[in-house]
Amino acid sequence: MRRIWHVLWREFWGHITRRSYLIFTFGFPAFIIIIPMLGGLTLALMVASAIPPTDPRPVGLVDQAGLTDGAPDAPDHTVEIRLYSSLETAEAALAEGEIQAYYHLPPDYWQTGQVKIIYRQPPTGEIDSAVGGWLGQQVRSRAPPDVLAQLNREARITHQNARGESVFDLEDLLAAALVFGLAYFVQLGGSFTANYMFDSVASESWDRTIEIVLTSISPMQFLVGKVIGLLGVGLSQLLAWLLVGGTIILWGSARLGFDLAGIIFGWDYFGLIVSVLLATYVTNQLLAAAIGLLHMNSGSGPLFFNTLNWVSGIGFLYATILVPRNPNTPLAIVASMLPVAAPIVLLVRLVVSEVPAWQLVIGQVIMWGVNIASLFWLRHLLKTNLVAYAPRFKLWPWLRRRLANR
Amino acid sequence: MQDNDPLKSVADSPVVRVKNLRKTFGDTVAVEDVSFDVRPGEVFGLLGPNGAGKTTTIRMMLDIFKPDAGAIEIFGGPLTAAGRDRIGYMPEERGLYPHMRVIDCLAYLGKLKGLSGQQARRRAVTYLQRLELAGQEGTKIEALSRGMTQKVQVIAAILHRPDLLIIDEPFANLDPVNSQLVRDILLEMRDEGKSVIMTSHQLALVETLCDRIAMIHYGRVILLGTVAQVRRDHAGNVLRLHGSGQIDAPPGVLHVERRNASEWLLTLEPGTDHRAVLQILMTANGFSLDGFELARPTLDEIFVQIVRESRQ
Repeated sequence: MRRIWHVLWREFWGHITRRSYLIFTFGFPAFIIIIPMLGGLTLALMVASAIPPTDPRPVGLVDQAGLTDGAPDAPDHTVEIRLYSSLETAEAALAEGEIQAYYHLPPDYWQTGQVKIIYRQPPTGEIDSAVGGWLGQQVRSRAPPDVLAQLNREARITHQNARGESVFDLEDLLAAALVFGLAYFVQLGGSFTANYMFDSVASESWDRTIEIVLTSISPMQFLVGKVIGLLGVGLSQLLAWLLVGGTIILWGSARLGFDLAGIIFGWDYFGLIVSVLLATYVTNQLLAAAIGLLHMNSGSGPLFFNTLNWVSGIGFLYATILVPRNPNTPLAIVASMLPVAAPIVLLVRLVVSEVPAWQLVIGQVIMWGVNIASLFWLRHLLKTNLVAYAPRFKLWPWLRRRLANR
Repeated sequence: MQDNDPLKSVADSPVVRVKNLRKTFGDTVAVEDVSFDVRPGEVFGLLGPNGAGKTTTIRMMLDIFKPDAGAIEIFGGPLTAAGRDRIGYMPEERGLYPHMRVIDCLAYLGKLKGLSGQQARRRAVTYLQRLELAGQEGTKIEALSRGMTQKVQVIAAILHRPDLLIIDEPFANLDPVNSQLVRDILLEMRDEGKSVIMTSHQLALVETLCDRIAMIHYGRVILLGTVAQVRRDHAGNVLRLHGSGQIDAPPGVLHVERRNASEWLLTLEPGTDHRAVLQILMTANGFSLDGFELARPTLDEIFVQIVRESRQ
């Protein structure tokens, strides 16, 4: 175990203290954040310089619809609203310069919802928003409590097909959409971090270190240490990005009144999807290690890997277009159990149908089983490709020999 | 009576025993039939031309490859995890982590051999001083010269004080001064009762360093014994002549080499009587024989002769 730890730590610490890792890990989110911020700031400054300053004078309101009956003059933090009994008194106040504009609620306001504003110089949009918000409050204050409560509560729509099988609701859909974003992010991040795996594994061959290391530890110990160490490197990078991105998104959604964290973490299948994502991430990294072992170095290796990712994009189309219509076909069931397809196909099936527990269990066994089997396959590749200088395995000559021996 | 002494038999039992080893890669036979043993406290030379099967044999000994047939015993049995820790290995193709600092790289490789981090660093510093690399601890491997890298590689192989050192071409890339430093370490290990298996094409060094040698050619052991014994066995095959004139290869002579204006070396075919050759030369026109001796060839000469013979 200690030797596995030595390999693991060398990989992990050696990578996360590299300049290139630090620049990419922290520079990437900084770049993503700073560039839009700089753009937004520039735009805001341009807009601010183009907009005239807000007039500090109050606005008037002539209420002929009876909306504000009994309501006192309503001071607002943006603008003071003064009530006038007639259009004439409001017009006189405007002419005197006591108010910058006045709003007129005509007698048919309740039917038309129309409000007029009269001014000498047009007020800024901020004034319109403040007055509009205040009028909305007045309308809500007149509504009965049960109506008001229902207005404040969002409608929950539950879908059910004619057979009564497919059931999902909007909250599930939202959670799934958010987790889908997460899945896409992990997949994308995985393809970035796979480069560490290619280079690290292939460099053991280029640097001829593998032959020395294998006289100290077994190939399996070496692989386990290396793979876990490099997974740690990739996951630490993803975590750094998730922390930055997640904090911004959660903070922004909280400001807008959404409890995104509650929706994501409260979803029944969150734990399952995390396991699926992690299994797929590990599969991707093991595939990257295999490409490294097969001497597809940093040039052709990533190209091959990215091509595979593109091909797996076909699964994405299938999952989003066909699976929602027929979520329980044999193909959909199988695809939701396989490492590369499961993060999308299973996700869609979970939203549009009831996935039986046995399928979820078998899926988990297959996905993690593939990873364990891949380690043994990598061990074989390690011995035959990194150390050996034997002729590469070719199917046709091998078959010919086998047939000749019969 | 002495042979029945259990302590002596343990001490003398081979550290490595290789028997009828065979390894093929597809259609290529890398090792056909290799057998030898290495005893405690000896430097054993594994010689042979490029592609003879030396490295494959070593890799099978280290359990990097599995042999197709034959048996290997290391420290009296199959290679175990504990046995691995008692072996030091320096492959022909040098392997160090180029982006690591010298001290970190050595400490890492030492830890993989079971040393504690502190122990590995302490020993690394001692050996770096001994091999005249003091002050290079913080240098990255990629910044070292070839010779320096090779010395670091030697340290990596001996840091954990192995009982068996397998070292492939230890003197390549080294100048005479550094060769001497490495040679001293190998001899010191031998004096401590440890075993060293080395391969080298610098046969003059092998002659002075190795107690016994095995020469592998086309995957077979074709020579095995002490250096003196091997040279003695080949002495009858080379005739050193002093004289003047011109020599045309007489029957029974494999190869004629003119060393200088008055000296020739004649390599005889196995079974040729040197007296018959001398008689022909003495009666031949165009050559006047002043003297002769049956030369004891150097390992270099034996090596060349064997390779030439096999090609013919």
